[in-house]
Amino acid sequence: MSDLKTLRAGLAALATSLTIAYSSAAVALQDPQQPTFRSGASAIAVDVTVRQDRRAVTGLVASDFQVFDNGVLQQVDDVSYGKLPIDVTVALDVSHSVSGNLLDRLRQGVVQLMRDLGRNDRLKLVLFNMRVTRTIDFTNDVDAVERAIRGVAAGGGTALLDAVSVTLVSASIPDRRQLIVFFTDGNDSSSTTSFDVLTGVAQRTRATLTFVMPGAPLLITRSGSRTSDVTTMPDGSSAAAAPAARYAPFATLARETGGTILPVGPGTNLTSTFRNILNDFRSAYVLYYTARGVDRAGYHTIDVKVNRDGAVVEARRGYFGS
Amino acid sequence: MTALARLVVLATLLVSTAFLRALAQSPQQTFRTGTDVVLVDVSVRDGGRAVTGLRAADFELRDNNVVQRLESVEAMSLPIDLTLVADLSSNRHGQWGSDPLLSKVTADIQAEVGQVTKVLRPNDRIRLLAIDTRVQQVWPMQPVSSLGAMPRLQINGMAAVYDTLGAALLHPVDPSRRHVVIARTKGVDTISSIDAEAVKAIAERSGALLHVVAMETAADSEGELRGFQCALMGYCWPTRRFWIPFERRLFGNPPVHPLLRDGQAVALGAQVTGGALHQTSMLSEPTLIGTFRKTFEDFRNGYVLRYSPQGVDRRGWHTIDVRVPRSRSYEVRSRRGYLVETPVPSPALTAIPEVPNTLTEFTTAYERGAYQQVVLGLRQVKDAVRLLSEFEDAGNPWPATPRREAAFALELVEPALFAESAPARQAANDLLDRFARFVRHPLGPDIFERYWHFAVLTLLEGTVRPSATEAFVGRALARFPDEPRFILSRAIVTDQRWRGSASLSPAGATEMPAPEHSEAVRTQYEAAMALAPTSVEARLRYAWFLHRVRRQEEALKHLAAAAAEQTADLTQRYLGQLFLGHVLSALNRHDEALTAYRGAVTLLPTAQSGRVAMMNALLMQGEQATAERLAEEIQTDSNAALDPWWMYWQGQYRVHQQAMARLRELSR
Repeated sequence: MSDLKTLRAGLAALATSLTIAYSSAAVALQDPQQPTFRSGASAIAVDVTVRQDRRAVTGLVASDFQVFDNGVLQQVDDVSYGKLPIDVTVALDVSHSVSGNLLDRLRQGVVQLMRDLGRNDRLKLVLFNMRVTRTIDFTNDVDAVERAIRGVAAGGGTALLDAVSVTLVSASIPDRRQLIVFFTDGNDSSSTTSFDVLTGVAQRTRATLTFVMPGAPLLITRSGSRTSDVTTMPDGSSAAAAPAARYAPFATLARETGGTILPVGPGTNLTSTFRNILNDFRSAYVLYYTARGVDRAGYHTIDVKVNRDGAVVEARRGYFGS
Repeated sequence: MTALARLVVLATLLVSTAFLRALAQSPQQTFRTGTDVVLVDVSVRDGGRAVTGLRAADFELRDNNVVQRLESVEAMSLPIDLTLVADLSSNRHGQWGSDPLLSKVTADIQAEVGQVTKVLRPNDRIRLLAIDTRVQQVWPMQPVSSLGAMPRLQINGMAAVYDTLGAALLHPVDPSRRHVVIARTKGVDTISSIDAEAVKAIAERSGALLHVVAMETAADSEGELRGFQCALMGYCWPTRRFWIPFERRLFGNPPVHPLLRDGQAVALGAQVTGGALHQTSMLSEPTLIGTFRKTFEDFRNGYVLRYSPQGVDRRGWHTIDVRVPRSRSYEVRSRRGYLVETPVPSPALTAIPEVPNTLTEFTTAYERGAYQQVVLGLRQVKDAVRLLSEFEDAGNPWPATPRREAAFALELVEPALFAESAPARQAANDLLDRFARFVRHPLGPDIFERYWHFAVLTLLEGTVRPSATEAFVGRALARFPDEPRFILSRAIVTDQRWRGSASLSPAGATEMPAPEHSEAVRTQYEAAMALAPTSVEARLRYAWFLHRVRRQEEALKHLAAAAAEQTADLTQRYLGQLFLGHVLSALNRHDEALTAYRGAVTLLPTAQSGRVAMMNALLMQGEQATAERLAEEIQTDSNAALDPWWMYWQGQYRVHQQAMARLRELSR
């Protein structure tokens, strides 16, 4: 409840502000524009990462993959590798619990991430505490992003799930691959979105979601469970792990989108962490297929296999057809 | 032999604003501008017989050892206001016992009052106070002729002796009347908010005549009583008493009952008014009736000496010594002295910083009504413990208005209550705990105390630390058991104990609460639902609890009932729509849920929670483009309103500033 300390400053004014009579004008929300969900039509695009011995496997072609849609084997029409431009949404938790030295390391990590982007790639910066704010829209301007992070004043509660939902819905630009990286401690004090609803949102959007979380147990990122109270960080350091139950829903959510959850400790190099996330995403294939032999509406499970012994395939778990 | 003295120092000895008003309105004021006039009641006896017919030349009066010229000496003929004080405490058979015993206590007191009223004159007045867990005013001051049947007494077992004596002495009196207090007590105090020294101080400043009648034999069972109170009522702190318990002896020396420090203070307080503390002599105890009769006889045969002090400093304590030089055998009784307060010099006005930082700056800003600056400064306090420590060390900045100090203390504790540091929070709780006793009015719960508790609860609810808040809720309800906001507070604090997990959001609601917790939440919210001022909020909150424990249909009923009440509170209407959407969504009634979310957004178009919920619902309904547009608005709206949902778990903290504003008004 520590975030309440700084939350109260803003909230104290709420009592006054709420006494003001609001106008009853409703927002206009009835636009009949057709949805542009890439996998909503019969043509489906799926991001797939293939690793062997923790290294990306390259050079695969369509015939190397098997895609099952609701258990029905599909014909892979095309495979794309490294061709589509990438949109990265970086969402930083600037609530009371993320501040000081950690914020400075974050700034360095995000700036380096921008420098690692390709010529046609872009980055958007979202800051959130209890309020979700897009600070910088998609840009290549490194200085602008750095200035924005330098100007962060940490404080307030955290509407983490609301922020995830908003960024997922926003990451919808067609013909660009969408990666969302959330840096957060996983505390949520102010969301109105539940995990159940958020899972539904993830299934209806197409971005890959990755969480970078201080204190998250390492094992949870791979198996969804944990066996130790001590987390071993990728850099070899150890940290007391918070209860796994707190992070398990985030791991499930990330896996639903083909993403992951990465723990970081006090000594973790955030610059490397962000670079690895980008490299992993960049090394993914995009498989295109046209769903056949299945009902178009409803939830579709996706299962992707590859004809390489020992290869590990990661892809989103499914999508909602309309 | 009993003597009586009476003194009034007009314009200086006044201890309450009510008294001041009474004086200002009196047509019989006798003071002269620029000079204090002192009136001293004196009784003169010779071998038990009142001496009458004395004149000014017969008296010698010294003020601080300086002989004064008497301007007049008049026979005492003024009507009296009599305050009788009866001690109901230490009676285990009251609240928990039988009605017949309570009836007997009532009948005994009524019989005593009946005997007193036979002595009083038609223009005299009487009131009756009772010492109990709190001060009971059984009858307000009124003419004897208007006394009716005695109201039903309450016997709760505790003894607020000092509070009751203070309340008795603080009665405002018209200068054309004399105030006499005759208090009968067992001399064991368990729960007063003031101490014996405070009673003495009040007596020194009061114009009343105080006689205290000891009931030492009735206090014999003190040890047993204290054990009972500690075991069953939780009052285990040491009691304060006047004397060492009486030892009966059939033979030998008179009984031993030395006064303890508190008893000495009360005795001195009585003596300074011209009265006395009457203790057991041999095997008999003084009685209320006997003491009153002697006092009244002295009144009827006494004198009023009037003089204007000359040759002495006006300020400070004045001893009075009255004699009748011509006869050494006369016993002359009068008040021992009086106090003229030295006003605290006003500090030179200094500028108030935009953001006060030190206790002095906070005090100055508060004193001048710069409350916003106080609030702003307190939010930036780095060392909350130090601030509270300095406040406690410095004492009350406004000695004449203790309630202002209590209101100010409530401002100062906020940084500590919201601090990360447990010692800081403990220091704040300790301070509030102490002031919870100070704010009690001697005559019983009043509006200031009510608002003080309300402000405390709204603040503590905001910290979302239910284990620390519960004790304060219980304390507030003990004083104001029917206050709807306190009843709602009890439910909110219980509700705060289970939020599903460490998260405040519905995301964390993965495990179910214990059945006893659910039952407590239900009964407590239902109690608040039954009261009009809190009905809607209690229903909304209980509905949200039901939603979290997956009882959606029940939640829906409460939301419908809340909506039917058509509250004008925008926050409640908004939350009602938002919760309705969530409940309907959980029931897979997505179209209706979307309509409810639209209702919330219509009420507060820029509140984030409603827009996010609506965005999610639109996406689920396949309206992706509309959802995307709403997502864009959410992220880019720099003028978005603060969201009522963000404060939901902070209970009534949303009205804390209003509570503080009212408290500030009441404390001035």
